[in-house]
Amino acid sequence: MNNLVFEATKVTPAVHFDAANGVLEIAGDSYPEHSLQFYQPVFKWLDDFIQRTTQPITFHFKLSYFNTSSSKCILNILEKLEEANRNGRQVSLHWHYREDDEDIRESGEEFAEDLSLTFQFVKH
Amino acid sequence: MAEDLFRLYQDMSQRKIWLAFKGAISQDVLVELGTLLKNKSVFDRKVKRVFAVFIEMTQNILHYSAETEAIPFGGNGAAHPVGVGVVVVSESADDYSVSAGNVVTADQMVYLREQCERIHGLDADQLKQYYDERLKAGQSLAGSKGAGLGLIDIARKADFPLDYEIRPIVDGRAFFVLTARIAKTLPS
Repeated sequence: MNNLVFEATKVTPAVHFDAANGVLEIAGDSYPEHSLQFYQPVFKWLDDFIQRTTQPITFHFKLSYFNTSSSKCILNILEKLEEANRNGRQVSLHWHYREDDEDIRESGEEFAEDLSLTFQFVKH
Repeated sequence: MAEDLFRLYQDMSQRKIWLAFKGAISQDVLVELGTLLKNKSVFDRKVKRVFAVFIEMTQNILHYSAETEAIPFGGNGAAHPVGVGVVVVSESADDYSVSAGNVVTADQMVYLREQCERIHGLDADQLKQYYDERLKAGQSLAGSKGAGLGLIDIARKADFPLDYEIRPIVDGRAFFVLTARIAKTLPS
């Protein structure tokens, strides 16, 4: 499988999905005009990866800001990971936040509340 | 005109207006104006909330304003309708304020009044619950661009209940104004 790599822009996060080692990372700001348009290929890649491979997934969210339409897309990604995990896939999830940005930590905690995945919070 | 502009300048200075914009709010415009807000401080949780509220409000105008203007899109020349509105970010002794206004249709007016009234009556926990509920309303991922969720998010980031006004104009349309205030120092 190919890797999925998007460089960050002012309004879209960097995406580095490494198919070989299962380390998937989304980092930066997310507030594009059309969130779904940006995240559609991310969803697609993740679905394929979950279906076609079996290795453990290590997912890093390193978001500094996301708007509400992006948060729907992030939830969608988390739900895909949760489902894979329920089906026996090993998933380790890391939610990164700046030490002085409690809001980002809290939004991670809110996602975590309703999911069976374990979030590891990483302070920077 | 020169005199008017001087008064506008004085008024804006006195009211500590960080930025004011009226016109077609394209993604490019809101990103640039948002960057001004972001650069206000190295990192301040409250100013970041001002930025977040600004982005939600201006993207609502971009997507939903009933008044639109066609702007050329990228290099391909295809017209791209963009919402028109007005947005003001200002500062007082104790708080920051973000206000946005735009024309809405009769249907939007009904929806917004209902949403604003509902949100107005909710405390922080209830807002969180309502946000969760709307976030998970699954089918809306494809259809809605997230408005509604945006309003709740704005209410959650504000430190005071949202001020809103829906003023009928012509042809059944109305002018919708939303103001969110964020305290400079209060913990929240």
